[in-house]
Amino acid sequence: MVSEAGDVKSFLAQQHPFNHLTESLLDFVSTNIQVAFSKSGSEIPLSTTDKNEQLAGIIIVRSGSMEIRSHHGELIDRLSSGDYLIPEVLTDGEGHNPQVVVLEDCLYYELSNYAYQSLKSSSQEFSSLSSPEISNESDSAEDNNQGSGQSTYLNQYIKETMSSSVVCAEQSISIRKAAQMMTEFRITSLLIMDSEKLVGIITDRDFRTRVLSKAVADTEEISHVMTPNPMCIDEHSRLHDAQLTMMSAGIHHLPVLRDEKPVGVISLSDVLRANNVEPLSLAKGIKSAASIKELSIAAKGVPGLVIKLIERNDRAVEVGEIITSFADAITRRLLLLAEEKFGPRPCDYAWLAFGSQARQELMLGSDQDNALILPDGIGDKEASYFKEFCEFVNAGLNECGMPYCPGEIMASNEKWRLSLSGWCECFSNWIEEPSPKALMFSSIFFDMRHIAGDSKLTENLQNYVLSRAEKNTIFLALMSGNSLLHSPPLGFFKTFVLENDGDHNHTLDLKIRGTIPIVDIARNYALSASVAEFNTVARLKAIKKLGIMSNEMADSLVDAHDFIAGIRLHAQAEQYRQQIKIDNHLDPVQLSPLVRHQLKAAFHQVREAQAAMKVRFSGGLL
Amino acid sequence: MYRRWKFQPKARGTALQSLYEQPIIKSAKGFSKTRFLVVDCEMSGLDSNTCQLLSIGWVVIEHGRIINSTGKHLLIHADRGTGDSSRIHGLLDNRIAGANSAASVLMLLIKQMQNSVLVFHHAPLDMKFLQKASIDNFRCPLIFSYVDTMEIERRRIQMQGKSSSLRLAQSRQRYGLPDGSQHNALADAQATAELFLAQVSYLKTGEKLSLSDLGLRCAF
Repeated sequence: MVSEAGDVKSFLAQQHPFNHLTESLLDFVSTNIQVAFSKSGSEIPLSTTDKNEQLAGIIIVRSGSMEIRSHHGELIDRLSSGDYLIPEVLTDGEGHNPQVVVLEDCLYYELSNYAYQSLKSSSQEFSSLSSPEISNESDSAEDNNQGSGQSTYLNQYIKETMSSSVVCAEQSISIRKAAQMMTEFRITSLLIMDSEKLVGIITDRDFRTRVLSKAVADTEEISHVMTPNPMCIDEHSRLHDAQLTMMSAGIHHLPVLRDEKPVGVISLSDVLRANNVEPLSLAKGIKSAASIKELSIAAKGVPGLVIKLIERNDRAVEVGEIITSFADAITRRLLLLAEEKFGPRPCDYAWLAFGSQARQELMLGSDQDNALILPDGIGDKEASYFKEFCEFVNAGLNECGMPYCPGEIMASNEKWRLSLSGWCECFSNWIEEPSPKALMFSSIFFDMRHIAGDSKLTENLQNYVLSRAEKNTIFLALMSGNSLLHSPPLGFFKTFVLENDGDHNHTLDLKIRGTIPIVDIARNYALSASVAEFNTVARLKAIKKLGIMSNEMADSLVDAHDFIAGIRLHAQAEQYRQQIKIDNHLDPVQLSPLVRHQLKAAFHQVREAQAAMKVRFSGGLL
Repeated sequence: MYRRWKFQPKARGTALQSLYEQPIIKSAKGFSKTRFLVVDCEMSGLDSNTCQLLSIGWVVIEHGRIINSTGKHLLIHADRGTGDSSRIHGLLDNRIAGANSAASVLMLLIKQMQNSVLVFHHAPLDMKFLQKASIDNFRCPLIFSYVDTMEIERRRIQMQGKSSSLRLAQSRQRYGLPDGSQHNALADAQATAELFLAQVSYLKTGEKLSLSDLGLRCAF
């Protein structure tokens, strides 16, 4: 006797969720499989009036494809080889069965309901399947991203990490008394109160920089040397938020509030303890770099850190924020170095980031997109100062792993080093006379974020742009039409559409095909409603709150965005490990069937959102 | 009918007796009410006088479903060298050494044939070898009803006015059935069964499809 496993078992052994089964359970499943065939156009019954006919517990597509529609006719899912459906899960609360129609001649496996039920009781994989698997793809995508229940440090809450006792003092006490209290309680920061209200903070470092070095008498009131109105954080925030706040503000202590009252302090070292990867030490290296060379050495640590974050299964959105925070820190450091080199700035300026850096969605290998706003009416001397200044910073960013922008969207390009009124004119032209090129610029420049300098310049420009764009429905229609050019890479739902240019045969471009469509949707809606957010997730949440996109669609786009970004990051991590050039291309063959399945579902959601956007904005053209 | 009558006394007392005594399956019987036994044989060559059966694989179809657990793959002990086709089937003499005798495999097959219609892809070849083995071992031929998926396919192709390959793999491709990775008697029986279901789904007009629509024949 030879193996009787046959095709059925070897096929199932490669498919999720059957690939998680033990050998004996897999044998159990394959002996309980019945094989059936339905030609295209026929319906697969999920309910029966015939008592003799046994209904299947699971249906697994072997070849061909089928689609599931709710009893209202709404498309629920499309299945192709390796996909499965569970009739029990699909039946809605009122006992309505969805309709399953074969699209292409379909060979499928049925697992008897009896076998499915006993499988559910003996396999965790299967018991978890009884929660909706089809209509709620995003949930499983999220579960997958977050790993099997292990909390990553970024998802920990501040409450778990902060110092549990809080030491406060009245603002009228003397400097000496404050120092004594801190010594007594062995703390490095003291919260200063005006009766119940937090009014300031004093830290070890403040005693050095504001008391001793300035020879202030220790009898003076502490309120004279404290940091008034300190930045605070709510106790329900996540560690990640605390880290970002401290990193961007360059501070080491954050008071933690509950209902506006301090309940603890979280410090840099608390974060470091919770996080053995130490992005902060890297941030420190960036902040203290005294030359481009030192800075570029520090920046070399960024990819390694990012890989560690990815390996720990941190959420992609957060990894993007961390990469961005490094890019911001490097930019700020370079701006300071530039002033050291060329002398102090002759007038104010605002340094802007565009594109993914503006959206806080940088990935590894992203190129730089930046520009400068200058005040109106500056002279030639100032202009030539900023020419050198910007060339220095752009060259520095290039050294530090953010390559020159191939489209020359950089502050060193005089086209993008304009006065505030010059910028306003520029945007106004794009909005009023949207040529294809203007639309391309718009999709880059409408995502802008202030990085350094005078934030008023940036705010003025942002407000101007939002007010102009919101009113112009033709512009919005064209933007929406333009973004429909980037479609999710699904062929007639069965296969991925793969890139076919020279270097990247048979790969998916996850950036152009996956991320950009979502980013575009979020931007277009945000522009139409004057939403000032620049981050895609923040935009989607704001749009949802305003009620101009359905809750379901906004939520599923957020999930799809995170999921696609996660796959991009994992693919990049793999490229980094193999020491090949980091880009956004991925061969779908490298993905597991489950991930492929989820990716298709994510693309599917993007496509639906695109269709909805088209309907919403095409009005201006009609 | 004549041969059935002629061999019935001979078959008495052999493994074949039950086959000879079972009622003939009516050609008006519905497809979904019929039990099918899909069979594929591997032989050491094409000539039943010089070559012999190497293995038999089968699988059952009931209620229009292939019952995966009924899949069987039995190797037959060879007296002579396996010849050329062993390269195709991957069967080597030393692997066959521990196999069953032709008689015991036939007896298992006969048990499965009760009240069933057999299905082959290109029936004449398999039947020639099965009948020879049956006569060698039991001095009587097997008696059964069968359908041939190759004949079903031939008729379908003729109706469409085309001429295409009728081989198993090419026929399966026309229904979008997946390429099989394995090549043995069981895998081919399963592949034939899947093809049969696909053909049936295209022949089905309304719910009623009878065995005569499938070209039911009697072995002799």
